[in-house]
Amino acid sequence: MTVARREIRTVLVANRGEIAVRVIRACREMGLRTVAVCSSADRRALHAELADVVVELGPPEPAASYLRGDLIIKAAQDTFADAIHPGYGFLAENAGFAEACAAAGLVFIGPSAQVIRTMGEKTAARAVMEKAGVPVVPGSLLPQPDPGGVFDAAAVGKVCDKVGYPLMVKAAFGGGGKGMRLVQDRAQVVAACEAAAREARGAFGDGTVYVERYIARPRHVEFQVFGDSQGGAVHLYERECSIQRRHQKIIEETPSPALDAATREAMGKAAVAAARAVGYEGAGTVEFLVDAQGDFFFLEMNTRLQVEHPVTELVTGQDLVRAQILVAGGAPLPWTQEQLSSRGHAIECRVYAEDPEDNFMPSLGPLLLLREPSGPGVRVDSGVRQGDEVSLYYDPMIAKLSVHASDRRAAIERMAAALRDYPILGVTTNIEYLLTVLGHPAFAAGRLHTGFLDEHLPGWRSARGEDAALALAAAGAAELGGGARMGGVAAATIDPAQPASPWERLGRFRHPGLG
Amino acid sequence: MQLKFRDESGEHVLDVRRQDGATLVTVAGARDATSVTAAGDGAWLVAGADGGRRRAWVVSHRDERLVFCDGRVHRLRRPDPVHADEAAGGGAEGPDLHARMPGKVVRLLVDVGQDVAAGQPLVIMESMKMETELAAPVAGVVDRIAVAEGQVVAQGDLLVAVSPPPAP
Repeated sequence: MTVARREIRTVLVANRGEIAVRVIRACREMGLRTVAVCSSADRRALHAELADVVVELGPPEPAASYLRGDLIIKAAQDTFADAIHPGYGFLAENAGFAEACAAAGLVFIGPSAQVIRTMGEKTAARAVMEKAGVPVVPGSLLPQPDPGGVFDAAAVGKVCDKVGYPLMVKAAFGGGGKGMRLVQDRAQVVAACEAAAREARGAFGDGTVYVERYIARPRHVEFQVFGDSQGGAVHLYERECSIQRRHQKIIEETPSPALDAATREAMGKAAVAAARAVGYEGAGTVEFLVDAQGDFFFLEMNTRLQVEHPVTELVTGQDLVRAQILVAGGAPLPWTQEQLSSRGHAIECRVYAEDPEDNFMPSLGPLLLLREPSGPGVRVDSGVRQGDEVSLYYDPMIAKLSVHASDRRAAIERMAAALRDYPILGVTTNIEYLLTVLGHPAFAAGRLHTGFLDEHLPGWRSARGEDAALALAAAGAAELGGGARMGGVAAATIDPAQPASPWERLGRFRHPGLG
Repeated sequence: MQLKFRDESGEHVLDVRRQDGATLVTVAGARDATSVTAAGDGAWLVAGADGGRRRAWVVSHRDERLVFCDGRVHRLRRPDPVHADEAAGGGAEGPDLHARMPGKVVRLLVDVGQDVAAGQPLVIMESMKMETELAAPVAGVVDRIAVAEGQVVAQGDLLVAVSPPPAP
């Protein structure tokens, strides 16, 4: 399963943007040589410039570049890399790619292909967790329908009565909301199963469905876990990720305002049990749903470094990417559970180039002005600079802004101040929207659930009108000129050597299933 | 001097003047002038009614002025009678040369003040990896070049302003 004590000297980073930058920086700190890969649109991207060597994979479309496992493995061989770090998204949870790396004699910095595969199958993952004693949402597979797709109403009803209503019918091999039906009572069961099975067959080629109890207004709380090749496994506490829009997390924090010490301990133990159950190696995340009563249920396991890992690093003081590389090289975990602790409170906001007033549509174009906030307890993970372009090919996240402070209230205040001091002009961003969330009384009270944004901020509109006079004064002064260095209005110059051709757009790409 | 800006609420007329290293901006209809000074990092410090100062950032992009302050972004339009078609999104009519599609300016073939004939190539653009020569719609004199070589432009952006030749 693992290459024992394998010396890693050169790491190829099979990703782009802020996570590639994050990994390259960790490698440089450790004295490792780095290889970046890029598409033709990213030749002059920050990640490509930071690495010791850069290999161009192909055209901008991910399917022709960052998803080309074969080209990436060849690039690793050509540059004498010993290991590949997949980041998140793209090939990070692709079991076939992990296998191909191993076959090529390369260390895949992540869990084994077997573990990736098991955790990628919802029913298989559920079965493993149940066996390990990890609470799962009460549910059950259904009796198979007849060849014509008709379910036995009595048999199905019996199973569903046992699970309890309301319940969800879900596709066993599905995702992304397809093949899912909410059922309120027994009368709706058969029709919902048949519809879900039909949809699942069409979307995933397999119509197997199962039922699960529906949890209303759940919180999304996940635990960071870490395992090594010697069987060691620890957790690095939780992250509350309930603030989501369209299943996409936008604000994450730790500790969760919902957990008491006993629940935290029970969940941490369950997360470690989950990691041990599959012999997990490297960084992973066990996601739970927490219901209004504080009961928690296994949701899924993400077999990669998570987007929101900085908050965990801030409160634990540990470097997860460094630990990933050490563990992948065959070293034991750098910490025991007792050596790990969580201090203070950390929050991350994902700053996106998108328009919250227009259905969160990506906002494309050049970053005419970009100044990152700084100060005590402020961290920015960014893959772009002023003059770079937000293009249609990739996720429109500009950066992750994270703060660390002594307690939750101080962290919220620090985050709000940092967002107000984060000028980005040229594309529309969600900064003001994030500020509205942070300022909401329900957020301050910690009353979070995954439907928070739909409940509290439907049809959100900017309050920029309040500052209209101020904006006019600033624009008027800028027009007259005399500003430092800029000679008046900051020139909206665009890097003349822009590599990206933003109009060569074929389709929009978002990392599938980003945690 | 007097300036006009347009935002969501309509058009605003500003009186702008310098005094003791600061800029005093009075919005028509407002009682007091607002004092604005330049910060060392390129920001603008705008004095508030409460005696505090707020930091604003301004960039100019085509006919727009984009302002960031405390997490909010304001888009102000600067009505420009000379190049009104620019504000309207780029009309192809008239003597001025606009970008027909987004692209990169590869070469500028003329200088300010130069006489050009109708159909004479003025700019070489690159779009979709193909180079295209853009020619003067009418004969005239180049009175402004609005872009630089290597610059990326959007569809409708003004490239070269040409004024018709004086009547013979």
